[in-house]
Amino acid sequence: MTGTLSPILVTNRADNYSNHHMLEGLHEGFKALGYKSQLHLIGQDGTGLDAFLEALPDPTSEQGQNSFLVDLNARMRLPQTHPLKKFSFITDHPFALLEQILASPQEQYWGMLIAAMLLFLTPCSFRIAGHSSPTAALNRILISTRLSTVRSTPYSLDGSITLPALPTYKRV
Amino acid sequence: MKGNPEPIPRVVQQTAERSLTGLPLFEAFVSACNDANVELKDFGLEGLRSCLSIASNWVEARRRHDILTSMGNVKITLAGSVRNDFFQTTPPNIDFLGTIPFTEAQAKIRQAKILLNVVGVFPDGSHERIWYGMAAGCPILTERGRLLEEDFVDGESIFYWPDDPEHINDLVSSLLADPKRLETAASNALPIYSKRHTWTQRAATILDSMAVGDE
Repeated sequence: MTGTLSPILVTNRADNYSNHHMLEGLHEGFKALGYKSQLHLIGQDGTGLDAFLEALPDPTSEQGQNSFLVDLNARMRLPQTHPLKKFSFITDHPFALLEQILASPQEQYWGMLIAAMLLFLTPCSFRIAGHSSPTAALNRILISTRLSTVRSTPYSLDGSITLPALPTYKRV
Repeated sequence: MKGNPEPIPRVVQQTAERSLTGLPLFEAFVSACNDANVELKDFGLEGLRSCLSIASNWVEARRRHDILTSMGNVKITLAGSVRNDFFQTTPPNIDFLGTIPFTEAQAKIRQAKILLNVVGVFPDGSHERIWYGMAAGCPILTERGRLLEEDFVDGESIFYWPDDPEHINDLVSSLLADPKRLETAASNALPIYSKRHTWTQRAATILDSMAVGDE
């Protein structure tokens, strides 16, 4: 990465829920910090989807290397988006979003509501590299804001849950 | 998980009961599984999701119901979706609006004397409605949690639900009778919110993470 990060935010339009307003808030936040941010709200009928896809940069270009997607609850999983880095803000407990999370590309960042969610994701075969114990992760990684971040690499499951002996974490 | 083998309903019930006391949902679930000698792998993904959904929905609804029905004649505006059988009959002190547009909800928050927040299943987290409320200068009454308690002091810049549900009505009534106290709390909260909890700060957290990831 050699240039300034360029966030591309995408979510469904949901006037009666806070979802797209949350991304509007982040969009304004990125702009207030001086970043060139894009916000794409996709209607239930697909309105806005073409414009979003056309706005995606070539992932091999400098612009593509500097761009990253932001979505909510891992909803944006179109293959065209997979080469780009992504931050997904998980606004519910991950048990309710396992299908979306496990279908996401391996390399991406997650924003979790609380540290305890790591205790759920770890048995679900998420590898979170770095720290030596969940306790260390609980104390050090999260909770500084509602929007905490943890880099994780999900692996596909065969319909069963496996418990690793000792999870490891990485602070980001 | 096929069907409901004998220990599973007990695990779900214990998960819900322990989560209701403040234990994070998944910790409560693991604890209940251990007590019943059930392994997580026995559930499968769908079984896990089903059991946790049942427990989570029950805890959230139970907590909200208990609080909403603990406030006597205090006038409450309730916005959002609830389960069909949440109220057998909506109490007369509750103006239940159902789901309303976000912008309308923001207007309601600006008009409110105090914003009540009940989530219950994320005891160490928060909710954006807290921050929207603070931004609007609305005093907040919510659950305790590590995140909030790092920055906000009970009675000074925020109010937390009392541990004893019997005291909820007294607390809310006393707050509504003391507008100066409410105003002071909202005034004290606003600069803390502005310094640490705006969307701009959240955006900065994301940018830091994405930049670190490329190092």
